[in-house]
Amino acid sequence: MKLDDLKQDWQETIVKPATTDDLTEVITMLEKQTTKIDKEIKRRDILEISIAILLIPVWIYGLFTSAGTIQTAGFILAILSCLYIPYKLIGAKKVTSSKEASIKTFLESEKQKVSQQKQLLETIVTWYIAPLTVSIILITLGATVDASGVPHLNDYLAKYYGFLMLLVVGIYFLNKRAAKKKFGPLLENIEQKLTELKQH
Amino acid sequence: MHKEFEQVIKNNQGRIRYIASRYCHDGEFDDMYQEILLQLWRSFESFQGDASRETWVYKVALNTACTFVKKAIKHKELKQSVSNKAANSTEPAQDNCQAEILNSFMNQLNDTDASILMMYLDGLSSDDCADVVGISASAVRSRIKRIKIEFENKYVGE
Repeated sequence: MKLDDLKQDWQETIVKPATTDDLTEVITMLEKQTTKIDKEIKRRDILEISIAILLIPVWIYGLFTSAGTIQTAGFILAILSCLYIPYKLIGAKKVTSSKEASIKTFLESEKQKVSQQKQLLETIVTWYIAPLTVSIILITLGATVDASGVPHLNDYLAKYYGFLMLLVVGIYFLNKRAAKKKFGPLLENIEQKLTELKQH
Repeated sequence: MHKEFEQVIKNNQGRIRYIASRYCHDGEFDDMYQEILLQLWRSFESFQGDASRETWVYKVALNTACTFVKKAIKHKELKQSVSNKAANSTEPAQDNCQAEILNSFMNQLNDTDASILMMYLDGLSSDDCADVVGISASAVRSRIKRIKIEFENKYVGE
């Protein structure tokens, strides 16, 4: 038995099982679902970026009414963070992969996209959480300065900073775990398929 | 556009079902099938017609299947709708011995070789297969040759 002997058989059993189903309902659902997905993506993008942008006027107002150098530094850092976060998020969205491309091209761009998303999640503390946390610390600590410009850390603030630090460490580990769990197997799968493609 | 898409799906349903069943894990057939339909629908409007419909279906379906990750949020309504239509056969029918042999052989191949074999059996030219996979036509031909030898070594005389 040769492989070519099975061509016709294959086409009869797999390729051409003509369906008499009315697919109108399925297509209507597909259209509805596509609109829903597009709306969800748009809403998420707007939300992520607008939170950072909307906070900028608040920080600018704070900068002009700042109590001292520490608080000023905090507000400047907060403004820079709120500009950098959307820039970073928009940059990550630039890598797109079309499903109409060849498998090799698609997998290569998908690998780049997934690696970037994984790295973004793994480093969320350095580009998102840490700058905002440091800003908050500087702004709150700056509010306690006396006439000579020396800050006074009270018990309440110390506890608050301790809690903030625990939160940052928790977020760091949760995101690192999520990156590994969510993108690790997918990246492995893509790399394995690309290796398969390169073999002859 | 609905009618045209419906026709494309009808003409390619066997291919889509086979790809979904080839790539899915246990209990994921419906999810993968609906994801492939969704991606086909999403790119249907932008389909330029530079390639044949079959080539386009293969590209979108294989690209969706090989990077498929089960969604945390399922599209419940769509799934129900797709499941109703798919109730008759969740996997392609294997109603004869030769098809079973072929299916078992394909299951032993890696995903790339299985995709190439699938398109070869479907009657696509080496150039079309190369366009879908993204390797040269000569590489496709040499893979087909190797697959044929492998098949004959396994099933010779049967």
